[in-house]
Amino acid sequence: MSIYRYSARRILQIIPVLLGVFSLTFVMVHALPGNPVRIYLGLNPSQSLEQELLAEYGFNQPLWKQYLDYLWRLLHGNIGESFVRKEPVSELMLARLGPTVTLMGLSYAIALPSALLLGVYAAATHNELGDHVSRFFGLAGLSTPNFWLGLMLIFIMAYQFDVLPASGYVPFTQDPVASIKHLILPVITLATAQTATLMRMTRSSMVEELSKDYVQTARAYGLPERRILLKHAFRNALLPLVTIIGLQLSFLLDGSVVIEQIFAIPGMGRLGYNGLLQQDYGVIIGLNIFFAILFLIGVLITDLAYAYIDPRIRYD
Amino acid sequence: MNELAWANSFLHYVFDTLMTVSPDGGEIVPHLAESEPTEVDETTFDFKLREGVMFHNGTELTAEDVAYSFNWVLNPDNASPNRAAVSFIDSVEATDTYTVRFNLKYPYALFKLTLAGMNAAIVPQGAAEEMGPEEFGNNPIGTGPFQFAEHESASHVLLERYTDYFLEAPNIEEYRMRIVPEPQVQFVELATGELHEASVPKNLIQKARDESNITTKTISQLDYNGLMFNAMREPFNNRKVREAMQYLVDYDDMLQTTKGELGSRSYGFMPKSVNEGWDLPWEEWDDQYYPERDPERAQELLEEAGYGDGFDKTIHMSSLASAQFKNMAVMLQNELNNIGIDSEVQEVTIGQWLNDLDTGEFDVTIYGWAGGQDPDGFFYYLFRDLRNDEGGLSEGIAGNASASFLYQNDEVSDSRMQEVDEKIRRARRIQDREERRELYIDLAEFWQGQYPHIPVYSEQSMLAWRNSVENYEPTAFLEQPLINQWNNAYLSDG
Repeated sequence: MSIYRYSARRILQIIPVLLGVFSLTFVMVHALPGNPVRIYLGLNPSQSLEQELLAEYGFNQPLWKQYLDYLWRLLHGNIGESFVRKEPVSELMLARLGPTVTLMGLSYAIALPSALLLGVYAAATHNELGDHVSRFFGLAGLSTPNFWLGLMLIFIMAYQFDVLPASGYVPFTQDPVASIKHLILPVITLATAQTATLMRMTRSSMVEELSKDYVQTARAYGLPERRILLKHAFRNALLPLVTIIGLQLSFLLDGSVVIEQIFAIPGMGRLGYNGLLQQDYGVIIGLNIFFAILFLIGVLITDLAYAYIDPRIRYD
Repeated sequence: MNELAWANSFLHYVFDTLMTVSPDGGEIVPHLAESEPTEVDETTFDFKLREGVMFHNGTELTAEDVAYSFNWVLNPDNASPNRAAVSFIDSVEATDTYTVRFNLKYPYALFKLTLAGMNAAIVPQGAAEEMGPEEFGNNPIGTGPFQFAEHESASHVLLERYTDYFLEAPNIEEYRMRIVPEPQVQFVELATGELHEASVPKNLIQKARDESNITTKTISQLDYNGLMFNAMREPFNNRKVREAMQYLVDYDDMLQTTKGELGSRSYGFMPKSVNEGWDLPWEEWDDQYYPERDPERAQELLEEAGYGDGFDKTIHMSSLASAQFKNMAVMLQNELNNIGIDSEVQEVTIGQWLNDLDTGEFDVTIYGWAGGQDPDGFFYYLFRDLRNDEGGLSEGIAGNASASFLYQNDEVSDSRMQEVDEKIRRARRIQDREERRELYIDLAEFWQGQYPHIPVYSEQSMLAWRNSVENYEPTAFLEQPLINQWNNAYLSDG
C-alpha cells in the first residue's frame, strides 16, 4: 500500500474516533449534577427566569434530542455555542489560539533539541560525571510540579530581581520585545518538564543502542566516536523516541492549563478551565473535539515519520 | 471571584445611574437625576434629569433613554437577569424631555437603592436599538466617566477617559483592568509597580503592609458566611440539635482559622456594618444567641432532643471546593467526632452544591450570601417562603438554595411561619425606616432562635494600591471610586 492510501485510510479512521470522543464528552458533561443555567444564575435565582433560560437554550429537551441536535450542528461544522459567553466556541477558540500555540510551540522548540542533546551527551558519558549531573537535573525537572516552578520563577525573577514581568501576554506583532519578555518565564516553566522527560528517554534509548554489536564493530573499525554517536546510534535510537515525542504533545496541552492560569495568559487552557467550572457544555465539548483532532494529527504524523526514519517499515 | 463577573465590573465606569450611594453608604444622592425625586403619590415618582449630559456617542441623555433602559429590562421577552431586581416597577415613561415618571406596582423600600445599582444602568436608546443587545454588549455606550475601548477576553479591559463627563473630566487618562487569576502573582505585579491596584490574599497581608509604597485598606464585602442545616430531615429538623451545634464549636476560633483578620463575626444573618448602619441590637443578640463553646451544654441539648446516644446515621457535610469552606466543615466534624458523632465532609463542585441545595440533599453545608447594605437583601432572599412566590416552587425543588427549609418542616406552626413570611414581604414595601427596623429586629430574633444557620463571619477584602494613586478613597459602597461627586483620583510621579 502506498503512503498516500495509508494516510487516507488513517484520516478516515479519525471520524469514528471523533464521534466517540464527542459522545463520551457529551454523556460526561450531562452526567455532572447541575446545569450551566443554574450555575450562571447562582444562589437564590428567580425560578421563572431559570425556566425561561433552560427553554431558550434547549437544555430542558430530552437528552437524546439534545444529543442529536448537537451532532447535527457538528456535521455542519459548528462545534458548539458557549452559553455563558453567548458566542460560538470556534470564535472563542480562535481568539485564544495564538497565546497557547505560541507558548506550546516555543516550549517544544526549546525542549526538543535540548533534550536530544543532553540525552546523547549523558549516554556518551554513561556513568561518568556528566551523566550523573544531567540525570540529576533530569529527575529534578521531572519531579518539580510546574505550578511550583512557575511561582518560584515569578518570585525570583519578577519580585526579587525585577528583571522580567510576572504575568500577562503581549502578542508578538504588537510589541516583539515585550512579547518575548513576557514569554520567557512561562516557556521555561513549561519546557523544563518536557526537556526532562525527553532527555531521560533519549538517554536510555541511546545507552541501549550503544551497547549493541554494530557499535562495537564500528568502534573496532576505528570510526570516530562522534560519527558513531550521531550518524549510527542516534538514528536507531530515534525510533522509540518519535512515539514519545508525538504523545508528549498532549502533555503540553494540559501543562498549558496550569501555566496559563499562573502567568495570566489568555489561552485555550484557561478557556477550558473556566468552561469546566461553569459547566459550559459547548466550550467543554468543543475544546475536547479540538484537542482530540490535534492529538490524532500528532499520532498520524508520528506514524508517518516512522517510514522516514526506518525505511524497512512498510504501511500494509 | 468568577473571572467573567469580575470582567463585567468595569461597567460601573461606563454607565451611570439616576442615583448613587455616598462613600459611607449612609445616603442615596442624585447622580444623573438633578435632584431628589418628587413623590406624586406613594407609587408614582418623577425624576428631573440633569440637562446636557452626553452619552459617549455624542447624543444627549433624555427621559426617553431612561424609560427605554428600564422598560427593556422589564420586558419578559428580553429574559434579562436584572428583571427580578426591578420587578417592583410597573412602567417608566418620559413626561417631557428631561422628566421621567416611575409607576411602581407597590411602594418599595429599596426603590432609591435599586436606582443606584447596575441593574438600573442608563443606556442610550438609539444606539442600543440600532446595535441590538449582543453588539451593544460587546461595545457598551453610557454616560460614565470612562468609555469602553477594548476587551481582550481573559486578558484585560481597557477604558479611556471621557473628557465630556458631566461631573468633570477624570484625571486618570486610561483605566486598564487586567485579569490575573493567581492572587500571589497579582501581589508581585503590584509590588513591582506593574499594577496600581490589586487585592491582597490573607497570607500576604503582612507583606503588603511592609511595602512602603503601597496603601492598604480592608473593605467589607457586605456578606455573611456560616453553617446551614437542612431542617427538612433528621436530625437537624430538631431545633435543639441545631442549637447544640452553636454550643459545640468555638466560632470565634473558626473565624480566626479561616479568615484571620479579613473577617468579623456577623449577627442576625447580616454583616456587622449592616447591624451598625441600622442600629440593630447585635450586642444583645451576641449574648443571647451566640453563647461561648460549651460541649456539655451541647450534649444536654442533644439528650433533650432524644439523641443522647448520637445519631443512627453519618452526618453528611458538603462544602464548595475551597480551602476556607472546607476548613470550617472540618472543624465542625472534629467537634462532632469528640462527642462520638460520625460525619463526613465532601468537597463538591458548584454544580453539585447548588443541586444539593435545591433538592435538600445534605445535612450541613457551608453557605455564604452577599446581600448588600439593606437587611432586605438578606431576609428576603434567604428566609422568605418560596412557595408563596408567583409561580411557586418548581417540582422537585425543595429550597432553591435559599435557607427557607424551615417552612417545610412541622416544628413551628404553619400560621406562625406564614406570619413570618408575610413580615419579610411587608418589610420591603414600607417606606418608614424605623418601622422597617422594628420588623427586622423581630424577624432576626425569630430566625436566630430557630438556628437555621449559624452565622460565622462576614468577609473583608484587602485592597492595596500604589501610593502614587492620590485622592483615592475606595469604600464598600462607592460604585465609581476613581471619580465621583466626592473625589477625582490622579496619578502622582511618586
